[in-house]
Amino acid sequence: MTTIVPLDSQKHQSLSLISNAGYAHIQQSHLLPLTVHEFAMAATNFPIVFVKDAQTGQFKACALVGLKPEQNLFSKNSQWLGSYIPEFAKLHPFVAVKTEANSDKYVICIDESSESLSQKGEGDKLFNDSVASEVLTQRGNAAVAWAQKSDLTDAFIRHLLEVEIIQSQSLSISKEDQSYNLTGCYVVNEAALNNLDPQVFMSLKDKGYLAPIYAALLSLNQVGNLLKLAD
Amino acid sequence: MSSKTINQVVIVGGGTAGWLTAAILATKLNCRDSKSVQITLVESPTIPILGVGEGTWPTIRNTLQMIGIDESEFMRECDATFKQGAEFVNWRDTPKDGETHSYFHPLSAVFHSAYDFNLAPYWLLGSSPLPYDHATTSQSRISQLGLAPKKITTPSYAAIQNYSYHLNANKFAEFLKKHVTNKLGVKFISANVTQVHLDEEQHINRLSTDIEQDIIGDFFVDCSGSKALLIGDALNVGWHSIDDVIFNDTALAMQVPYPDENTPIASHTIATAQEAGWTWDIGLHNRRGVGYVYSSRHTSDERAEEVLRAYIGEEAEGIEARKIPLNLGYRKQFWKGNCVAIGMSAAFVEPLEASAIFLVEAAANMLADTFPRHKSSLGFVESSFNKTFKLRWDKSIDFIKLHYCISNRADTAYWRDNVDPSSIPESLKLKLEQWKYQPPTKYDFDYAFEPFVLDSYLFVLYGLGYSTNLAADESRYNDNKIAQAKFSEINLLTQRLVDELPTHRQLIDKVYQFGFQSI
Ligand SMILES: Cc1cc2nc3c(=O)[nH]c(=O)nc-3n(C[C@H](O)[C@H](O)[C@H](O)COP(=O)(O)OP(=O)(O)OC[C@H]3O[C@@H](n4cnc5c(N)ncnc54)[C@H](O)[C@@H]3O)c2cc1C
Repeated sequence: MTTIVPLDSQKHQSLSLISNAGYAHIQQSHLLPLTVHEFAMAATNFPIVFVKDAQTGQFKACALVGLKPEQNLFSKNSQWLGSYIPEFAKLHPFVAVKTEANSDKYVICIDESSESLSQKGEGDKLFNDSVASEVLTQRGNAAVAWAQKSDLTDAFIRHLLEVEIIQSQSLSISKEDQSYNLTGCYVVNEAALNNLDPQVFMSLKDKGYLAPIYAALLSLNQVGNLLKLAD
Repeated sequence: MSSKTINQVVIVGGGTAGWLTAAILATKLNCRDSKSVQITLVESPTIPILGVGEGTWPTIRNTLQMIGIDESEFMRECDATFKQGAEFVNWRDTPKDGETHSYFHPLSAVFHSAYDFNLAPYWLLGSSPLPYDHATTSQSRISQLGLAPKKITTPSYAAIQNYSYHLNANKFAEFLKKHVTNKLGVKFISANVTQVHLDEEQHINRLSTDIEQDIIGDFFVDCSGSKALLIGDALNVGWHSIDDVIFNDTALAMQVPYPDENTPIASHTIATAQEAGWTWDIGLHNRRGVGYVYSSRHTSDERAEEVLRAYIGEEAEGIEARKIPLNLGYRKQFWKGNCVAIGMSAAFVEPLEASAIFLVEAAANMLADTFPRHKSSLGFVESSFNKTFKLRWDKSIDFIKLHYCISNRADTAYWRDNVDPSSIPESLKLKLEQWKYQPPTKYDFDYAFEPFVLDSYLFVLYGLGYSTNLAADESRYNDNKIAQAKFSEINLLTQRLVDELPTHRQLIDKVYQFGFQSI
């Protein structure tokens, strides 16, 4: 159970961060959020899909790292088996949360239940006499940067929805005796992309969206990579 | 183009009927194209719209989608919520010592009786222990539990359980006006129509207004509400009253705020039978719309207000009730010459099954689909429009009357008068006779534009406990295994939906905050 709370220099004064705590926190996630800036790199490792957040109904871009819910094929014995680690995986236990829906101010929150936090002084301290340590400042900045990129990703997805090139696709994957069926995934549809009105297509180019769109499209071939890891 | 071409359409009135008609016509006739007809809507700046009419039918989803409206935006701007049907409280019998009983008329049937397998005879023969509404559909239970018909991840306009909306009628008209004038190329004039001019063929050709210019047109739509400026005043088409069949001629309406923002919102209309009519109770996002529709021949306005306040309870304190007289019936002709009446100017039955807006959509759709671009086609369309809408209204009246005339309530003269055979239309009597020994089948509803179909009749008949005696005919219903399987399939589905669906309030809050995706 995660317990995300705003970071507090008093309450969390004695906490420290174990930096090589591994990937326990995403061990059970078959989908990891991605920002559009990562698509090119992510596409060399995993299928990039769009899924709806069950709580808000809003689309998120995700790396598909498992073939069924609660399976992460890339995380094994504290090792990451791919050449690319989604930035999201490295933020933990920090998250940046907007102070208000349309604000550009963030508060840094932490997952108090995280195994990478220690009360016993292991690793790097978060605060030195109530002042944020260098490690905390750096990790906090990373969390804010990610949240900002995530906003740009939302705008990117909204645009793709508007021009109707994302479509629902249940991924049926089978190999010999094993078969997997993943529902709730949406992907870029190549035919829809090719049939776009030239003007609309050029607007994608002008916004710098073409590279991530093609990256997402090509990434779907990485299903083979997942099957290999599942063996 | 010759003067025989119809190019200018003028709609008089900007209530629900006027703006929906404008939207449907403008979309279907592609009015943004300069070669298409041009539509002008004129509305009085001083005469308010009726502003009631908060219940719709699922057809409204197609209509809104077709005219290019975003579902979440519509819901937010019109305080809209989801409607999954209606619950009829205390209609079956005279309630005893404060006890209540009810049945649902949901919008989803899991297995449409009309299409494949009719479960009704098996239910009548005792194949399910549940009441009819719960045995044959999951939606009764879903509504009863206050659950939503879909999830926030379900795309716009798509449904898990069929649904329509409850909405704020004034805001809806405003919302449509903005959309229709900004996006669909309809011209708007704010003025009072003061005089209607006819040419030698008795066709309307011009409207005088209280602003400078006259409004010229080739074709006119009368959406002026109960005023019926064109079809009634100018063209003298008479009114066919139905007050010998349907008695409720007055309404009292109230707007009741929720005690707090976590109050559950009902996802169905609650229609409770009262001593001289019935009360409606509709949950919008920020308030309830509650009212009493009653027969002034059977009660006084004072007594009616007492009944309404007693129904609402202390939340009614300090809130005023608005009285609305109802003129029940329909025009002897809906279409005459180059004018068609849509909305209250054309007909009104009483809001029991919330069918008025549905029939506005139906009329606007037919007008658009058969729109006469040449004056020589007017006669043909006029006669087919009049024929079909007379049928649709007669059939709506039969269905409304059904709720009253097979009730066992006998506590007041109102209910006793309602079962008097002289108040029941012959067409309905014939059917009721047939259904004494055989449940309704799809063949009883063979008209292509039947407003109320088999499933609706079944929910009402067996919700009210109508007795269909199959004793002499049991042998033909020998597919009991199939029926059992279907009944248990419905039960399983209900269970799954109960686990899966959010509460109505939860979903509404999410729709207002996040909105649905288009896919
Ligand atoms: C108590 C009650 C409950 C109801 N519940 C439901 C329900 O649940 N579901 C449902 O579908 N229906 C319901 N109805 C019916 C529904 O309210 C109407 O069908 C709907 O409001 C349509 O009205 P309208 O647009 O025809 O008329 P109105 O809303 O009366 O609009 C008339 C328009 O004509 C204009 N006008 C009038 N005179 C002039 C003039 N001289 N010059 C210019 N403009 C003029 C007015 O300004 C106004 O814009 C209910 C009705 C009542 C009375």
